[in-house]
Amino acid sequence: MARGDLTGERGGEVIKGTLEMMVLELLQLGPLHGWGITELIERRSEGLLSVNQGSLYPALYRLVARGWLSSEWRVTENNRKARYYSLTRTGRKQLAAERAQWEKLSRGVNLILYGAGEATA
Amino acid sequence: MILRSWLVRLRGSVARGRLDREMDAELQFHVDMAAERNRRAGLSPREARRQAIVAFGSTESYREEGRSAQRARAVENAVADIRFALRGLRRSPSFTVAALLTMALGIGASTAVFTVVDAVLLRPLPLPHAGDFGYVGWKYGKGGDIPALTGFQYEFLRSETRALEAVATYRTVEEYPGAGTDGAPIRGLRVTEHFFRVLGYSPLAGRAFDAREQAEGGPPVVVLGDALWRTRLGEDPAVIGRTIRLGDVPHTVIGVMPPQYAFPPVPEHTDYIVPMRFRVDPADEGHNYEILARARHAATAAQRAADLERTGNAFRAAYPGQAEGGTFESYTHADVYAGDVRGTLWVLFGAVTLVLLIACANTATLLLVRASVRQRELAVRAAIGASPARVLQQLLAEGLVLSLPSAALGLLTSHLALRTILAAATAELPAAGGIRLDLRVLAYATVVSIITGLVFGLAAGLPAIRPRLQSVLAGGARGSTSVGTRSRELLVLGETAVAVMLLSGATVLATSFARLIRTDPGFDANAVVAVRLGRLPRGLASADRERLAERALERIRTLPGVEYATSASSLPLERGLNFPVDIAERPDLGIGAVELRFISPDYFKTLAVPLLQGRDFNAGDGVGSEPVAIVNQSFARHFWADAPPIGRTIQIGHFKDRWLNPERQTRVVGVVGNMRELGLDLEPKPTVLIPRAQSYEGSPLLLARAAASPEIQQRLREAVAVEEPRLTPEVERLAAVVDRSVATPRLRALIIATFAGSALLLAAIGIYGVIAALVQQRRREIGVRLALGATRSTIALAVLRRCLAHVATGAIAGLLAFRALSRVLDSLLYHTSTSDPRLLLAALAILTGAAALAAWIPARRAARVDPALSLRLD
Repeated sequence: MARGDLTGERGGEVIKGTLEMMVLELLQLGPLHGWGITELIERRSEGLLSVNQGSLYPALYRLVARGWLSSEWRVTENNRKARYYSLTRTGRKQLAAERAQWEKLSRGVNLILYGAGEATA
Repeated sequence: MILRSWLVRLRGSVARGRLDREMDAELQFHVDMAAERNRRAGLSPREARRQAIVAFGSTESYREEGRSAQRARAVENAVADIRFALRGLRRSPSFTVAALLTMALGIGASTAVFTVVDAVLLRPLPLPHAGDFGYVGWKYGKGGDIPALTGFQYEFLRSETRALEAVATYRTVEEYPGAGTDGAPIRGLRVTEHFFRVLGYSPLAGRAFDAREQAEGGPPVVVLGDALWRTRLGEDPAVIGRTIRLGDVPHTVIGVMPPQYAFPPVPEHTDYIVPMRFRVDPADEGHNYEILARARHAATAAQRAADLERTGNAFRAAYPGQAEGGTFESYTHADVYAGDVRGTLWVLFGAVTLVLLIACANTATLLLVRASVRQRELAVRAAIGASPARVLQQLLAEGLVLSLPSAALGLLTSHLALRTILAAATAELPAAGGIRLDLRVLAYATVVSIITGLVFGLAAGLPAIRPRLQSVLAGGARGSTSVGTRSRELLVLGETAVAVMLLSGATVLATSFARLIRTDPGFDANAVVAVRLGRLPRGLASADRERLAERALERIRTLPGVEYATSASSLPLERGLNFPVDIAERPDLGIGAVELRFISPDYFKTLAVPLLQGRDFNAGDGVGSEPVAIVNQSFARHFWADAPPIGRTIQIGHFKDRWLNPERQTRVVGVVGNMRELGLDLEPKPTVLIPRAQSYEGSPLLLARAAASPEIQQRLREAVAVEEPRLTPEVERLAAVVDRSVATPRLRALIIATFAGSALLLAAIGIYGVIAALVQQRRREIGVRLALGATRSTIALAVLRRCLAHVATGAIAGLLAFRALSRVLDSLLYHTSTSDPRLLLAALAILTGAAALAAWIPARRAARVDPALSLRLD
């Protein structure tokens, strides 16, 4: 894959694996279709991140294959059929685990970048 | 979770078309929505759509990815996995070789040994209702088993038994069929009337013998074996009624046996069957008839035993003095034909099971070591999106790639091992010729070792494949320290224990064997050469043979290098005769079975046996003169204690009853030292030696006292050939006969030593693997210690100590287990104890040495760690 899963504002790549984590996070609130996830990531990150669709769908299928997501076809408010993804119980557990790890990682990175003071803030 | 993802994938492969359509619909929906947004942002519908498609990129490229995530691309994945596994194995050749050898050895040895055990001890006989078939003998109390009857006992049993449907006896016969054949002998049986009922086979064509044919003076008739009918008689459909010549007598063919006809006691004697006209010879009191019996199918084992006991009691009541006790006893085929090797086979089986156990443990250890080394690799794979099932599949592929060549090697090994066992033990194993490699057993052993490999490979891999997305980045090398370490150390412990057991067994058996061959047999076998005259040419009567032997002996006596020469009916350590003997003044001292040997003058000088009292036989001891005997010390002590035996008389063939002519007295003229005639491990038995000139004519053997050089052997052969060029004499050193008599214990010691050696090697490989992995994992720690001032020898010693602690624990467990199990060896040992501390210490020392060596290599590597380098790792 030439591009990363997510693209930051200046085109910098975001760490691998974070896309899956964010998908799990967003689905916590309820079932969404692929397009909805794309929009939500952009909106929630205030435009800092945009999803590379070429990664989103494979990631979704992967998460389904692992049993973290389930999917079903539903009708949207505009009366179109779309595939909605929702979090399974194992997916929910996985999210908790990944959150914890992410926090550790980001704390570590922050410590290195900004030193102890910033990171504890 | 894994199951579920497999289901998803499975559905993926089944419903590919539907999935593709759904995926298309989903992507189409996405593009539509993006276009919609672009349009709302003010673009023309066309432009909005174009931009949405561009932003989405090539649908085909990730449609493929989407598919691969959902679909089990079984074939492509499998090929990739196998390729990957091969590459991985090539990269670690020492692991690969060790694992292959371990599994091949385990599979090969266990298959070969199990095949033999199965064929000899476990497989039912090739007879209809084999469970009802057996043998009857006479049991004189505990340990006094004689799996054969006297003719008189046989007649009695035949008429009195109720639980046995039929009993029969047989003699093996060998004949040269009449002219027009290639002259090779054919082998058959002479049988009593119920033979066919006892075996459960009757002629397929024609009929069995009728009463007239079975009776004294009946017409010569024969039933042919299927193979003989096919090969020699061209499957002649009109063979019944035809006449074939056996020896010089024309026999009428009255039947042909079915192809499945088999005769387990002597499998090669199935060419033909002729009737035996059985008549009790009152002069023959030997247990000379092997009795085949078929029990009534309805009779229980208890009923059969009770019936035999009742018949035995009746026999003793009817003929008091015929036996000083005892009764009829039934024996199984294994009792009669595998009695001697049974202990060996079970020891062998135990040893090979232990080796298989070690092999499995070792495979497991190797895989665990490998898995822990690969843990990071697996974690990375899981993190970048390989599903657990995918990783499992990969581990399976590796197991498969490893086990298929192992199975092939195992097949080869088992073939070689079986050939070796059979070659070394043809004499000891009944029906060795019929033993073939058992493919089911091979398959079983292969499957067992593959499963071992897979189970441990997976067990080791599982912790690694729980995806930890960040651990690779965050955790560094710390994620891979301790998984499997404990189980590996336990395996090493177990392996050590098993290796110690085998080593102890091997040491004890080898010591026993060494003591056995150092036993003084009572005669000097080293400078004695034996000449067997070989098959007598047709047309030569036994009187001719006797004259011929005498003339050859004269010639041999004059050969340069020959000190003495003599003749005898049998060689020491080869089969002799048993006869009851008693003396008139003390009938209570009579012995049921005294060893009886027929010899000639100079026998004792030739064999260097000391003549203690009296005289040797001489030319005057012949047919017309007084019957004389020389007895051994053991005999003299039994009958006369310290009184002088010379001049006393004994009765041979007479045993506390009125059957034999009591006038036949034999005078004792000499006493010789004891010889171990029955086996080096057996105490000398009371023995009577009689001049051949006054005994039956047996086929004579010539013995010469001479250095056993090839020239002498050639000259001996020539001396016989000059007298009768048609003879093909066999010349053999007596030492070779002695050697042959200890073939079974030698084989036993050799086999268990081989197994112990394999076990030691495997255990060493295991220990090496575990310690090496330990050092590899601890490089950083070792680096830190070195940097903090630990000396290199401290590090190496710490590693060694850790290893030896496990080895010591395992060794103690092994010794305890050996003590518990060593009972099975007791009966196989000669003047050796299974609890001899010196022997056990020796075994322990060997193991500790090997273990220290195996641990030393990685320990030295640990000491050589460069602290600067190891700290910079990761």
